[in-house]
Amino acid sequence: MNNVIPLAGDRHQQVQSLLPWYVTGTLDEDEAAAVEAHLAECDECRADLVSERALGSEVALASMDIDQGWAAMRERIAGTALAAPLPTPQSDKVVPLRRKPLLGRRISIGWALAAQAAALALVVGGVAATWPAPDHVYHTLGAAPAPRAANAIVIFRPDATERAIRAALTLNSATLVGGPTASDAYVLHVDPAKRADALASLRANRDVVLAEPIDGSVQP
Amino acid sequence: MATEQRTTSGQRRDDEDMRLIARIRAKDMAAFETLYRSYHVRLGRFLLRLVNRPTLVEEVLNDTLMVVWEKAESFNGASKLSTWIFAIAYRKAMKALRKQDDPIDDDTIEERVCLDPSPEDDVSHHRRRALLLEAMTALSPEHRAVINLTYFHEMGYREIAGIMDCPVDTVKTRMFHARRHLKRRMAGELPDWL
Repeated sequence: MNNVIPLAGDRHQQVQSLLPWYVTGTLDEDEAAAVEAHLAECDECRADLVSERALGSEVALASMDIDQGWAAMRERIAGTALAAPLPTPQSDKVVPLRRKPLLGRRISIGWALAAQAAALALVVGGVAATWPAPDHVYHTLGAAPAPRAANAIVIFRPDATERAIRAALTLNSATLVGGPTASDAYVLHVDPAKRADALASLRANRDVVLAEPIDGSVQP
Repeated sequence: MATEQRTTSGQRRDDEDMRLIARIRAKDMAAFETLYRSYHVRLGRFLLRLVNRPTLVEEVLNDTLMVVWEKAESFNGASKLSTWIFAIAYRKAMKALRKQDDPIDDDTIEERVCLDPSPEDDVSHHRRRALLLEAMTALSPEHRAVINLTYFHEMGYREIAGIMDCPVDTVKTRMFHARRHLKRRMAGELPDWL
């Protein structure tokens, strides 16, 4: 299949070799015009153009990876759950948390607990969201000590019992940093060295809908 | 008889859809994954014909199904679930096209839109995709790369030659052989595509 076929010199053959890129609209103007001029007078090439379009569509569809698509969707849901508002534990004057949009859209946030974290840059699904820098520390009044940095997010099944949730967290030495959010997500801290194992263990738990890492680093 | 079978299996799928959306309302991720996988091919085919760009299809497809996850409670059962989802996909696709400032031909869209493909269509789509994937697997990595870069990533042959570090004629030759191979392997299926 590696012998090079001669393409020059024969207009019909040249057009045949260009049809795939004519279909995808990536030929330059001169080439496209030459293809069209030949198509006008060649039945065979016109018929091939139709089947070429069909083949191109089918190949493009077959190349769409359903597993990758689903993985992207899971990450997106995790990102949205993370950004959803948390009920504020103290109703007295919480300084609003400022942040840039996650995943390129505006999402409201009333995350009082996370606001106490000095700074955290999140990368969820490969998209970075910048959190307030250390200079901009936000406190609730009567500021409590900042909790440990969140590095994982988990969503339990709606019917999971408190006991099951507690057992899952204890088993994986996970501590609660925040949650539940409006999407019933909990933000956790787990030992960074054992995070992969903890997430795998959580995912295997029948009460867990989703467990994803949150990769963070302090932004200047 | 064929109509009866279609009705029965279509009804079964509608019932299954209703069960899934009820669980999705309760934020059941497993149900959502089942729905996602069952709609991926159907929506992909529909969207590809609307937006014509495979990479954009992936984006719009996930935008659509994200709405299903987030707004499942707004599906009131007045229509079939598939109609509701395809209508969301249609709106998302139009929005994406407007953003791209890409002219679209409304007359042809009406012809192309098939909101409710029959179960038989689904089966044949899946069979064709399986056959095609098998045929693509049989290609050498170089031929497969040319096919993939051309049709999925929609790159011109010069750009592909740059990526693969080979002469443009080699790209054309690989494409020629790869197409011939795929068309031969898919010979019995090709008429159905047209």
